[in-house]
Amino acid sequence: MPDPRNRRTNQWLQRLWVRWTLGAFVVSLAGFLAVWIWAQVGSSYPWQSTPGRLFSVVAGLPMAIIFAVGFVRMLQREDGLGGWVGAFSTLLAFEVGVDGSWAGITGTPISQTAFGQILGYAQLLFWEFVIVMAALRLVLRFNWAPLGVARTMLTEAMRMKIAMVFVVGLLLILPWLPFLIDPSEPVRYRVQTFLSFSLMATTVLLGLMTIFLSCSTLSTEIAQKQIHTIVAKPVGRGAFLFGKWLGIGLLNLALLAVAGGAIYGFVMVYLVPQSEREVRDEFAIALDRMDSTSPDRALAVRHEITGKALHEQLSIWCDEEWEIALTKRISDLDERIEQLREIGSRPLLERIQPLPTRYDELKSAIYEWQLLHEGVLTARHSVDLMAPADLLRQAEERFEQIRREDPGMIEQLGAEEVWDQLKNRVEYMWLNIPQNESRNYQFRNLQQAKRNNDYIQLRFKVFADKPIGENNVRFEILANGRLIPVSTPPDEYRTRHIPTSAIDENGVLILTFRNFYYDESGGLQTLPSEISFPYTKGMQVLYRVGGFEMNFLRSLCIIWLRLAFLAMLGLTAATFLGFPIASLLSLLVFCAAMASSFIVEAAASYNSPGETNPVAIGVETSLRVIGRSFAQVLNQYAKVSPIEQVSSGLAVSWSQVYRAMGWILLVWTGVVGVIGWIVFSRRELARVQV
Amino acid sequence: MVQLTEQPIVECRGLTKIFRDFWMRARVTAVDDLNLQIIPHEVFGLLGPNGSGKSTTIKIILGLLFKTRGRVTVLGKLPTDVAIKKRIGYLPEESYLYRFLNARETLDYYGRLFHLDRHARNRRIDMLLEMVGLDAVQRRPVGEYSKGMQRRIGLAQALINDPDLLILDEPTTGLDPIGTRQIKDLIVQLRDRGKTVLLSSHLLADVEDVCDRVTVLYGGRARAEGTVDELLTQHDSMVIETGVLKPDTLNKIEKVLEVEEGQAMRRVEQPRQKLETLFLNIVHAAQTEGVATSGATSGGNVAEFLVRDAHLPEDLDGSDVIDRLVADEPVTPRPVEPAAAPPGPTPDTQPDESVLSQLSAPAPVDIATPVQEPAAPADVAEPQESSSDEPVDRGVIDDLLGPNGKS
Repeated sequence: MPDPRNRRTNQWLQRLWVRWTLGAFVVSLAGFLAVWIWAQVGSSYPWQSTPGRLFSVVAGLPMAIIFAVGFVRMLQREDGLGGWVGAFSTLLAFEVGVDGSWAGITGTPISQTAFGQILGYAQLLFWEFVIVMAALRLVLRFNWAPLGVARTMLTEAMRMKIAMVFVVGLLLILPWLPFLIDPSEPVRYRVQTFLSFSLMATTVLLGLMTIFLSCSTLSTEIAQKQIHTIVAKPVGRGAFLFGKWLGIGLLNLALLAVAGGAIYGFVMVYLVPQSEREVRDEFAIALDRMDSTSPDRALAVRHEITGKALHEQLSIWCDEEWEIALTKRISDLDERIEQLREIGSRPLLERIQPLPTRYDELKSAIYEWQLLHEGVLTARHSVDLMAPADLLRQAEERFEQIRREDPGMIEQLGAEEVWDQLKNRVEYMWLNIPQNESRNYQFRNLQQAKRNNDYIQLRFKVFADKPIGENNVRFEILANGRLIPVSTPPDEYRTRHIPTSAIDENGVLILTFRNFYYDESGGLQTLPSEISFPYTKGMQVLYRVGGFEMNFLRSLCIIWLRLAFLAMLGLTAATFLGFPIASLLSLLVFCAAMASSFIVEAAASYNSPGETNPVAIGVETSLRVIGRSFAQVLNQYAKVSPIEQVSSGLAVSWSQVYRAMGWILLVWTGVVGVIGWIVFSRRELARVQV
Repeated sequence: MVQLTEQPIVECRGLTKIFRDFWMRARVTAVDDLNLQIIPHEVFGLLGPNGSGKSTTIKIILGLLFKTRGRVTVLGKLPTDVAIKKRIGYLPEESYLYRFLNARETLDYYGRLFHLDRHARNRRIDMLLEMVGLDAVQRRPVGEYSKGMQRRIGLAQALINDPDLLILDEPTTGLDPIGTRQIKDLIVQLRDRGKTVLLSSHLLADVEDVCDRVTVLYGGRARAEGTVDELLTQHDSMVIETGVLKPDTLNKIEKVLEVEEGQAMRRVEQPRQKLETLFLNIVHAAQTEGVATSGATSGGNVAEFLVRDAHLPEDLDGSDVIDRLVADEPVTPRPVEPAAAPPGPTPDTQPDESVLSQLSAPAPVDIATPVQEPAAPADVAEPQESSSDEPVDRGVIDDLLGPNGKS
């Protein structure tokens, strides 16, 4: 029978709990209000004056101390949802106190420093995680044994150190990354770097967490014998295994949702606005200086500004107030141009010393903005260059010729090597354009691009085969009668827009590359060099097939599918191995899968020419076969590289997701799961104890 | 020997378990050609020293280990059949619990595995926590519990599904005498309410107090099997219990014995109180004085859902159940009754009239013999009717709770 005194104590504590939670909220609110009122009355923030700083310290410090102690007590209590709400309110009050006292002592609130912001974001992510987990637990409330197992799996992950180490690591690294990237880089590079780093960090951390968690949860239950009680319950071993997998899968889903939300948020809220701010700043400077410059120049700028395309782009980030200011500026500019015209003659205009405009910088900022949106924050489909049919034939003819005329070469180098060299040579010749010559290149299957887009992007990298000094490589591209002059530094990827009207009805685009150009005065010029394009990925056509958001979501789907496989792999390993060996085995597979393409290449090129010892040759061949087949099996894992694709604005298609679902989830996870189930069902879960 | 009037709830025939090493060489024969039949509504004891094969037998019955030879059925099916687990409750030799869950969450988890709906689950959890005396500490992670408290929560999880077959492996290990007494009382009550209990122990007092039938194992083989009384009754002596006698009276009795029976009186002594009773009285006194404790409390009554009549709805108000329990007859007559008095939970606190009445009755003839074969029909004694007026005994617990305790 329960002790009535305990019951009374519990009720009293419950009331205190509610009061404390409410109190903490009220105190936090009071803190914010005090700052706001102070700022309204004194027209400066409290930490900007000595009395205000004193006030901040006196009010903030005790608040921080009291609620710090309270927070620790809250965490110790572990009391369901009420506990979390109490902990949240207490933490909020603690932070208001710390921020106030910090501002009082140093003169700057900690929330305005990079460190404070990182902590703030991390905390935001943590609460987001808690809410998502609570929602998942709610979903798992239904009365089905595997759901019960999955629910307890989530609780285990939340309360055991093994998973929380990685969760906390992830929630701290993600807000920290944007601050680590060099701010002098163009924004699109920063976005690309952040996307690939953060997604890679998420993949690796969650991968490790999944492996350690899945291996530890089952092997520990077997070693510590909790499984004895489970086996006596009406849940089959397969269902139990499935429940564990589901729990880890859902945990990964929650963490991916939080991490994905954070990554998307940092890109859109923190990084992209920086690009827009750069354009705005340059724009404002250009406008300021415009009225002092020559009327022609001013006219040109005005034309650009009010031009339809640019105006549309600018309107994306122009708020109403700014729009009005811009219109006024333009009308002022028009007036000034008229005045200059009225003043008269050219000599007079020349006497006005033109100030340097920032027009180029403005254009560059706009270009960067454009590249960010068209090259990174998008989903593009890529079409590679189509080699003409007779190209291979040429190589074959040449090979036959060598076979007839110089069989010694084939004997010496080996037929494979000779063939490779010939093929490379033919391809190089095809992609090499001598001086004053032109060459046609063909892209096919562009019907969709023609249907849905006004323009496509041609992405290329060009080499000059002779030194051209500091000069750019200059040439011309002819697309269905439209001339596109190109001037670009060598060995750098560049993108040019090509109207989709250049694509014919069959979806074929023929581009004529001319290794000569017409200068500004109309004279024919040519580079003192041949130009060439690398064969693989040296020239691609890209066109938009969707937005960044869905692309990002699809890449997260594929990452989750990989994690789901790892979870099953870890669980299966733990059905017959102890924790250390099971996690080592899973790690080995994880690393091999991540590096499978490298292993395939390495295995293919692993040979020692001149080796005559049959044993050595045998070992070498076996290693090559083992390495290649192991990596081939895992190649599907690395074949789809959503991180690289999403960070370079390439589309992760639904078909890729379905393929990953088929291969990784159904085939691999299914097969590994069935193996795990068979082993687990046939295994004796108790040990000899006589 | 017993007569089987019903299908055995657990049956092992020629059960053998050989543990092999990595090279499949036989290393240990843990159970050797064991025959066992546990019939419904009895408390069956597996008795034996450490390493005699008790736990191995239980683990085979549960499907944790697989037999090497022989045949095992549980509730008429193979031990690996998941469906039978709905009717089984199991308390392992140590309560292997999840350290990160608290008591309530632990029971909730196991309740979910039995597909209990939320309402029933919460109701049962409340009752069980109260029963095992952990309701005040239900929010503490079980990793922080003492061993005894872990045993209590282990017992609660074994009962969450209101099992028909309760398998208890060393149930009283790590428990204080109050907990031990409580478990023994519980076992008797569950048996009286129609459950079957398989109890494994090397604590002889536990087995003696509660078991109807026992099998004594040694080296994986059954050495003896029978009812407790068959095995324990000394057929060559008698005890007469009475008030304190004067020396003259004693002399007279001795003379009568010499004349009538030709036997000398071997021993005359005053019985001592059991240490268990003394201990329980001391704890009772401390609780009456309100001395605080951070551990488990003494626990409450047996959870209502465990002792309710099968036809009663589970969410019936508790007091109604108790009223009806008091009014109702016990549910199932037991087919097997020990030859002597039924094992009451507190034989030392209630004068047992059946002992005196037996003194005048002819002595039972069956003497326990080493078991070679499963009970053959020829060896089976006639079933005796259960004493239907035997009250539900809450003995010690009610004592501890005093007159104000809920009963």
